[in-house]
Formats: sequence, structure tokens, C-alpha cells
Amino acid sequence: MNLTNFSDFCTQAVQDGMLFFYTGEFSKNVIGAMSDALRSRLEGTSLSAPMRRKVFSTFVEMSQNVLHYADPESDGTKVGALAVGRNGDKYFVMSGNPVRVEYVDRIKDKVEPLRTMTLDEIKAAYREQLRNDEHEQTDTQSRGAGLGFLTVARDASEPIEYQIVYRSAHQEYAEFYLRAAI
Amino acid sequence: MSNEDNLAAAIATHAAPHVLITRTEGLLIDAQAVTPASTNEDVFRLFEENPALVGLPVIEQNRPIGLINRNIFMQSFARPFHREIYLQKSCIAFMDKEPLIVEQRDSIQDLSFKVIAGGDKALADGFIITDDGDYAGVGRASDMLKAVADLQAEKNRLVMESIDYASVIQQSLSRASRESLRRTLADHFLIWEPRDVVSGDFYYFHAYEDGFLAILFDCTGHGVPGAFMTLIMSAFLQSALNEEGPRDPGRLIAAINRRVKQAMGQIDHSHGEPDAEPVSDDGMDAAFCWVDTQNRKLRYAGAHMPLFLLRPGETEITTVDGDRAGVGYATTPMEQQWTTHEIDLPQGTAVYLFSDGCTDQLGGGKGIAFGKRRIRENLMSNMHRPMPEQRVALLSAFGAWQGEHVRKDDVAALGFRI
Repeated sequence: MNLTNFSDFCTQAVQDGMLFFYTGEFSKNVIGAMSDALRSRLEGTSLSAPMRRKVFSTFVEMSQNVLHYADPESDGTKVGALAVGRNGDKYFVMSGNPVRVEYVDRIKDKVEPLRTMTLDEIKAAYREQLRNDEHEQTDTQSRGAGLGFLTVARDASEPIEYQIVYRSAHQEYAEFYLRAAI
Repeated sequence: MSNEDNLAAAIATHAAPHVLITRTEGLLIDAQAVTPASTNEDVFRLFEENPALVGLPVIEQNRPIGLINRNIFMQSFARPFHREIYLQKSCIAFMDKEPLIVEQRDSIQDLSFKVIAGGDKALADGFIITDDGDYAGVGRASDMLKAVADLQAEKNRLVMESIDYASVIQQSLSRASRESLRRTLADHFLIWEPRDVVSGDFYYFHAYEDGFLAILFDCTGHGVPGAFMTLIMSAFLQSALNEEGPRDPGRLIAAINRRVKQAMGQIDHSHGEPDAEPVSDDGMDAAFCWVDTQNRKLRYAGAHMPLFLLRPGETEITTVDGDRAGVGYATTPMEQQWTTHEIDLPQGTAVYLFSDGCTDQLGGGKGIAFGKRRIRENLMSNMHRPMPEQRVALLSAFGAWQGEHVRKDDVAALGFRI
């Protein structure tokens, strides 16, 4: 990318309300640094305390999600993308990461119902899921037991959106994108 | 020795303008290769450093196991997260596991069939060349196409050279006839136009003390096989002439018929033996004219080839049809006889013979045959002119009729006024 394109890229990002964008390797250190940055960005706004907590919580859940769903076989390297932005008086958090195609259906099964549930139903499911400690033995892939998606859905003010994109040359990976508006 | 070797040997003896590539090894490009231990990062760097590099072979213990296509690799790397996931992984992740692999001793022809069978992939990516299974290098489809085109042009040149020389031989064989014709007949024309350099149509003319023998014949086929047949028929004609003499054309044709059928085994075995060795079924149409110059008589016998006659003072051309039997064909019996017609020749009579290439030529806008009627009309309208002028008029009418249509067959005609 040359400087002109980079300047266009920055302008476009500002126009689209982007506060924060990262793509690449995800690790505890990276997430920690991003958390610090985001926290100070949010403190500089007139946002109410509960809203700040929700945006921050959603960011943390989605970062964890990238870590969880990234391919466990890929030498321990977890990659993905994360963005936080503002659209009018709403904030949004988006994440993207590669997932092995064989897990796509499982992810859909977890996310799809959340899109039609009411806030009360989501809260009930969240409490139910907290009590369900059997899960950890039956599902080795999803350590968070779907709690992460429930947390994100609980803090969102609109149904969460997701997309699965198949683009890999070998159909080994799909890209999973998630968006929550707060 | 294979055909390619023969060709290569033939080409070697010629002063070819440049060296022809006949084997795959001539296309060899000494290309860099990687091993499964190489990472995608290594491959990425190689592609970035060598913009001309289209494909990168992957070899394992000196055997090729795949080919990495530049475009596919670079596109894959441009996708989200792929770079991060694959950068440090083995380069086999993006290689084509079934590239076209050819041996360097393969002929260019074998190679071209393989590349075409390989579809677009081999045309775009090229192919890996091995030496007894070991990696030797790569080849480009564009280089192969050039080699194929060069070989094709060279083959074509050799074939045409060969046919051109065959034409020299064929024309030498008829030189005696042409010279005798010129000495004997003051007013005559000859048309001999091979469709393809050499012709299946041929003629024979020989003068004797008491007259002359004029023959036009049209052998099966055209081009090289047709020309072969004219040589065979000329030999049988000589042999039959020695035995029968020139004065009874019907007997002469019958004698040739027997010789052809015997020599070429063209006897109809249609009863039974479905597995019998296929026999050839070649022969000729012909018009034989013995002209008795002392008594002014024409003796004509025809096999599928008519005689046109215009006596002085007449206003219409007389057509004398030959017999329906062709000479030498499997379906013509061994003992077939041909009718000899005896015709009076008043002073100034014009005689014409035409091969079916003249009458059957398609053209005239609607693509229909030129036909006997147009030939007769053309002869009639030029009847008072000398024979060489009639020839010009006939050929120009014929050429105009043919127009954009392709020449269908060899064309031959003989005309004389006596």
C-alpha cells in the first residue's frame, strides 16, 4: 500500500466511524494492549458508564472468541481481525477469524437462534448455560460453552449479525465474521 | 525407428534455417524448484524476486510431486488470514498435486497430445520435465506450440517437395505423348489441370503409319493416389498395346481391364468371406480413339467417358456415349467387353474428350454442376475458331462457372480437328 492509498484508507475508516481496527496474530498480550487502548478511547467520550462497560465487554468476548475458534492445529498461532466503531449514537464491535469448515455448522447452530430470541430469553439462556457444567466434558471445541455468544447477544441492542465466507483455495477454512451493535 | 526419428533424420539432411525441436528435452527450462521443507514464505519470496516465474515445481528426493502456480498462490495469499495461517507452513499447501509431468525423451507430438488432454491447466502452468523420473526442469506450453508449428511447417514442406517432384515424374511420363500430339495434329488443344499438383487424370497419344491413338483416362481418386493409378494404368496400357495393337479400342480396354483385375486382385468376392482381406477397388474411366487417317475413320470405345463430335456443316454436337462399365473395378467382370464404335470422319471434323472433372465441377452461383450441355454450347459458339482459342474460351467459361467454389476434381480434356 502506498501513502495515497493509506491516506484514503484512513479517511474511509474515519467516515465509517471506525475507532479501532486490528488484524493479525491474536495473543493475550495483543488483546491486553488493545484493551488498554480501547479503554482510554472510551474514557475520552461522553458515553454512559453502562454503555462503556457493554462495549468493552463485547470487545473482550469477541477477542476471546477469535482465540477460541482459531484453528488449534495452526502451530498455536491465532489470527483474526477486530474492529470497534461508532454509528450515530450506537457502537459496534466486529470480529473475523478463520474457522475450519467442519466447525461451521456448529457455529451456525449456536449463533442463529440468538438472532430471534428476546432479551429475556437470552438472559434466561445465559443463566441456564452458567449452571450447565456438564458441557465442558461433551464439547471439546467450544470451551466457552456458547457463553461468549450469549454474553455478546445480551449486551447488544440489535440482533447480532454473522457471515460465513468460503474463500480458501483448499476449502479447508472458512471465514467467520460477527457484528454486534450496542 | 519411429516416424519422428525418420523425420528428424530427413530434416537433418536438409539445410533447415533453424534447428527443429523434435523431443521434449528441447523445451527444457532450467527452473528453480522447492521441496516440501520450503515454507510458503520461501515460495512467496521466490515469486516476488522473479516476476517471470510462472510455476514453481516441488520436488522430493529429486522426484517432482507438484507444481505451484504463481497466480493461484498469490491470490490465495491475498485472502484474509491466509498469510498468517500459511506463511510458515509447508509450500505443498498451495501446490497442484497433479501437474503434467513428461519425460524429456517424449516426442513433441506425444507431448502436445498430453498438454491438450491436460486442458487449460497445462496450457497455463506449463509442465514438469523429468529425466527417467528425476526432475530435470519445466517447459512452457507456448514453446511447445511453437515447436509443433515448426514441425508442422517442416513436414508440410517435405510433403510438398515430394509431391512437386512426383509431378515432375508424372509430366515426364507424358512428354512423349505431348510431343507426338504436337507433331501429328496441326489443330488441337490439351487441358491438364491437376487439382493438387499431381493428377489422377492422364492422357496418351501415339502416332502410327496409318493413324494415331488418342486416349484420355481418369483414374480413381486425385492427388497422390490418383497419380499412382495413372502410372499403373500407363504400364498396363503399354503391355496391352504390345499384345492387342492400337486399332481396336474396345479390345484394348478389355485387355487392360483383365490386367488390372489380375494384378491388383480386384475380383468381387462378395459371396461370403466377410473377414477376407480388404481388396482395393480402383480403376479408371476412359475414352480410347483410334483414328485411321487413310480411310478417315474414327474407332472409339469408352468406359464412362463420352466422345463429342462436330462434323463440318452440322449445327449440333453429336455425343457418343461410352459403355457403362469402368475399367478394372472389382464389380467389372474379368471378361467384360467394350463396344468399339466406328465413325466416319469428314474433312474438318472436330473431336473432343472430357474427364468428369469438367462436367461435375460445381459453381454458377447455385453450386450446380457445369454439365455436358454448357460444354457443348461453349464448343458450338466457338466452333469456327482454332482449337487453341477454343481452349481459352472453354477455360474462361469454366473458371467463371467455378467462381468461388473449390476445384472438385482433376480436370483434363483433349480436342482436335482432323
